[in-house]
Amino acid sequence: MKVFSLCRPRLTGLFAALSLYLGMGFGATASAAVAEFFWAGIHLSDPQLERARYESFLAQTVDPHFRSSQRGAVSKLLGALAWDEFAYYETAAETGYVQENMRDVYGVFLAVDRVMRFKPSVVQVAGEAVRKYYTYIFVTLNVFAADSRNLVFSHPVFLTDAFEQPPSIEDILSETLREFAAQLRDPQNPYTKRITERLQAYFGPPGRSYEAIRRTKNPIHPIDDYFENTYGVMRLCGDCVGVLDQSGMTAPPVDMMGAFARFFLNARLAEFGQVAFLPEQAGKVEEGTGDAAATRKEGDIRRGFDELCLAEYDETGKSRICVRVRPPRNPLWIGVRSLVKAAEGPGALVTLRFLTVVDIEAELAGRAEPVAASLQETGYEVAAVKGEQVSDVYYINGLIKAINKLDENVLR
Amino acid sequence: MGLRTILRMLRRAAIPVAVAVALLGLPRGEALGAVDDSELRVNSVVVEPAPTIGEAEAAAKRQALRQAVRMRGNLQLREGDVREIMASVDRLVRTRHVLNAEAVGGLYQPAFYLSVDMDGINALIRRADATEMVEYGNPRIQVAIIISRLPKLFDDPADREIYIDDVNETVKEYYGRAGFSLVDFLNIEGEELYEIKRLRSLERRIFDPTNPPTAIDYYLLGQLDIPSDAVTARDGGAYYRTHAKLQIKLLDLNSGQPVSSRRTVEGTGSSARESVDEAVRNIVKAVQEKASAPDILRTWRRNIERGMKYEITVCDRELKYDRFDDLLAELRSFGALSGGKSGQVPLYVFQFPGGRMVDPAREFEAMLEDIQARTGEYGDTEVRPIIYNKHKVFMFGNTSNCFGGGAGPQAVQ
Repeated sequence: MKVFSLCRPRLTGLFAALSLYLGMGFGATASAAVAEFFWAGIHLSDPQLERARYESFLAQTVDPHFRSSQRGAVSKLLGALAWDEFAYYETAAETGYVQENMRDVYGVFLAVDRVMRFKPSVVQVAGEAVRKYYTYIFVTLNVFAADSRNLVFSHPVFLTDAFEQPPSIEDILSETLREFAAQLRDPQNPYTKRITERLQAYFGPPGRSYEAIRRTKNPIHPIDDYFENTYGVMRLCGDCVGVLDQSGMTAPPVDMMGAFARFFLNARLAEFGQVAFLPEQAGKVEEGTGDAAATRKEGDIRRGFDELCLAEYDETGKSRICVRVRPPRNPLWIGVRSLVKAAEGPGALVTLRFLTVVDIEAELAGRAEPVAASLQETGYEVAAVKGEQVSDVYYINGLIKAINKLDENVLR
Repeated sequence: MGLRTILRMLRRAAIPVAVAVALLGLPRGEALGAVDDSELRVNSVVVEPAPTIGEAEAAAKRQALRQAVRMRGNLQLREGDVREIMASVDRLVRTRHVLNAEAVGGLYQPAFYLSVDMDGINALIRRADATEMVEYGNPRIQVAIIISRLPKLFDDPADREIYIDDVNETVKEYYGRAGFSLVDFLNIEGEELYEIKRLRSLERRIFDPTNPPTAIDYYLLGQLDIPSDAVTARDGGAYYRTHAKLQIKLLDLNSGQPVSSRRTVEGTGSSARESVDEAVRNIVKAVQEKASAPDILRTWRRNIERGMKYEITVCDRELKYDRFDDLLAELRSFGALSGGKSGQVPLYVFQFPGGRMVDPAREFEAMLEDIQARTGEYGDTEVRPIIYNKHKVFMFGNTSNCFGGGAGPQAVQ
C-alpha cells in the first residue's frame, strides 16, 4: 500500500489517498468507443449524515471540483480516454436528450458511503505531545446508463486524512474530497489510471462498442457481462463484531469497526473483480417532472422507485434521478473479532497488541456451498504509556492489516 | 430606426449558442450535436446480421429515421409525409461512426452512430402543411407574453421592454412561419405588456367583456419569471446559467379548451446578461413543445374536415327563449344544430358540413346576420359573438345586457 504525501497548510502535511490497486500494470493507453456523460452529483449514502444539511454544503463547496467541465475532475478523468466520440455535460438537462434516445449517454455520481472520525493519536515529537486526528472516507465512483437507469460501473475507493484539530464533518468532506478530485484530474496518478482502465474495460477500445454488444447480446460479437458478476460485502449483523479490550487503555468503536470492515473489504474485493455499489441511504424522489433530469419529457422521472435516488445538484433544487442498483451476485457475509492485550515494557511503556480476525462466508454464484475463509492479523503492536488512553484508530489499523491478507485464491 | 430596435438587433446578434458552448470548453461540433434541435443523434443502432455492412447500414438508417419521426411530435404525421420522409432516408440520415464493424462467419452486425437531419424532416412536413394551408385557411393567433420578474441588474424599463419585445417577436415569428395569421393586440396597447406582471392580469385585460376578442381563433398567453437568484455563476464565474420559469396558456377560442403548462427554460452565456438572453431565446423551444404550431394546425384542419363547430346562444329581455325557435329552425337548413338549455341558458352547437373552412368572424357572423334579417320577426334582435368562459359564443339577443353591457370595435374586420 502506498501513501501519497501532499503539502497542505491546514493539515499535518501528510495526506494519504489510499486505494488498493498498486502493483497492477498501467502501461496501456486507455481508450473507448462512443459515450456522452453528465455529472449527477454527490450522493450521501452514509446513514449517519443528515442529507439535507450536507448535500447543500457539498453542492456549494465540493461539487464544482467534480462537476466543472473546464476544471472539474470528472470531465478530465473521462476525457483522458481516447474516444471515437465523447462529450461531457455538467447536468443531465444539458445533454438535450429525451428518454427514448439515450443510448450511450451515462450519468456519473460520487457516493459518500461512510465518513469516520477517530479519537486523537498522541505522538511524542521532540518531547512534545502531537495530536493527530485520523479520518477515513469511503466513496464510490458510479456510472449509470441514462436510458435504463441501471448502474453499469462502480469503483470503491477509500480516502484517509489526518488533521491537527478535531475536524468537523464539513472539514473532512471538503478537504478530502477536494484532494480526491485533484487526484482524479491527474492522469498519471496510479489510482486514476486504474479507474481509467476499468472504464476502458467497460466501454471498449476504439472501433468497438461493448455496450451495443451487451445490450443486443450480439451473436457475432460475444462478450462477457462486465457488471453482472459482482461481489459485495453485506451489512454486518448486530452481533457480528466482537471486541475484547484487556488493556483498559482504549475504547473499541464497535459499530464503526463493522462498517469499516464492510467497506474496506469491498474496496479490497474490487482488486479482483467488479464490486457492487452498496447504497444505504436512498432518500426520496421529491419532484415528478423532468425539467432538468436527463430528459425534457414530462413523466420520465417516476416517483416511488425503490432504488437509489440521487440529488443531482441544480440551481432549481428540483432535479432527482433514480438509479437502479442491483444487489451483488456474490454476497459476502462477515464477522469481525478483535482482542487487545497489554504487555509490560521498559519503564512506563507498555506494548498493546491488537489481534484481529475477519471471518468470511461467501455465497459464490455457481457454487453449491458457501466458501468460508478467515483473515487474521496477530502481529500488530503499538507502544503506549501505561495507563494513558490510546486512539481507537489502532483497531482500524489492525483490521486493515487483516483484510489486506485477502488474495484472489481465498474466494476460489 | 429607433433606439429600441437597434438595441434589439444588437441583442439578437449577441452570443450565439455555439459560442456559449465553446465557452464551456467543449468541442464545438460534439456539444452542438447533442443540443442542437436541427440534428438528432441516434446512437448504437444494431440491426439483424447482414452479409454486407452497406445492407446493415441501410436498415440502421431506416430504423433511426423511424425513431426520429416517432420522437418528433405528439400527434401522428400524415401517412404521406412519413412515406416521403422514409423515401428520403439517404439524404436525411448521416452515419457518424460504425463500430464492431468486423465480419464473423461472413456476417456483419455493426453498431451505427447516426445523425438525423430534423430540419430536413420539418421542411418536408412544412411543405405539405403549406399545401393544405391554401385549402384550409389560416387560423388567427394573438401572442402576448409578459415578464413577471427580471434580475435586478436588468430590470430597468429599457431592459424590460427589449426582453418583452424579443420574447413576443420570437414566438410570433414561430407561429407566423408555421402558417398562422398574426393578429394585432385588441384590448390592450402593445406597450401595456411592459407594465403587466401577472398572467391573470393579462387575461383580465384581454378578455374584456365590453370588447370581446371574437375575431381571433387562438391566444397564446405567457408569463416569464426570472428572479435574481435564477441567474448563477458557474465554474467560478467562467460562465453563467439562467433558469427562467415560463408559464404559457394556449386558448382555442372556438373550442374553449385552454391548455396550460409550465416549463423551466435554461440559458447559458459568458455573462449573466448573455445567459438571460439565451434563456429568453429558448422560450420558443418550450412553446414548440407545449403549444406546437403543427399540432394546432392539425387540429384546425381536422375540425374543418369534420365540420366547423360554433356555439350559439339566445337571450331575450323577457326570458322568452321560445321566440327564437324559427330562427334556430332556419339555421338547421345550413348544418346540424344540437344542444339546448344548459341550466337557465340555452346553449347550442352549430356544425357545418365537413370539408369547408367557415371563417367565424366573417362568414359565420355574416350568415347569422343574414338569417336574422331574413326572418323578419327578429327586427329587434342583434347577433354578435361574445366571450363566455374564455371561448367564443354567438349571441342572438335583444338587449345590450345580453352582450355584456356593450361592445366595442373588432380588431379584425
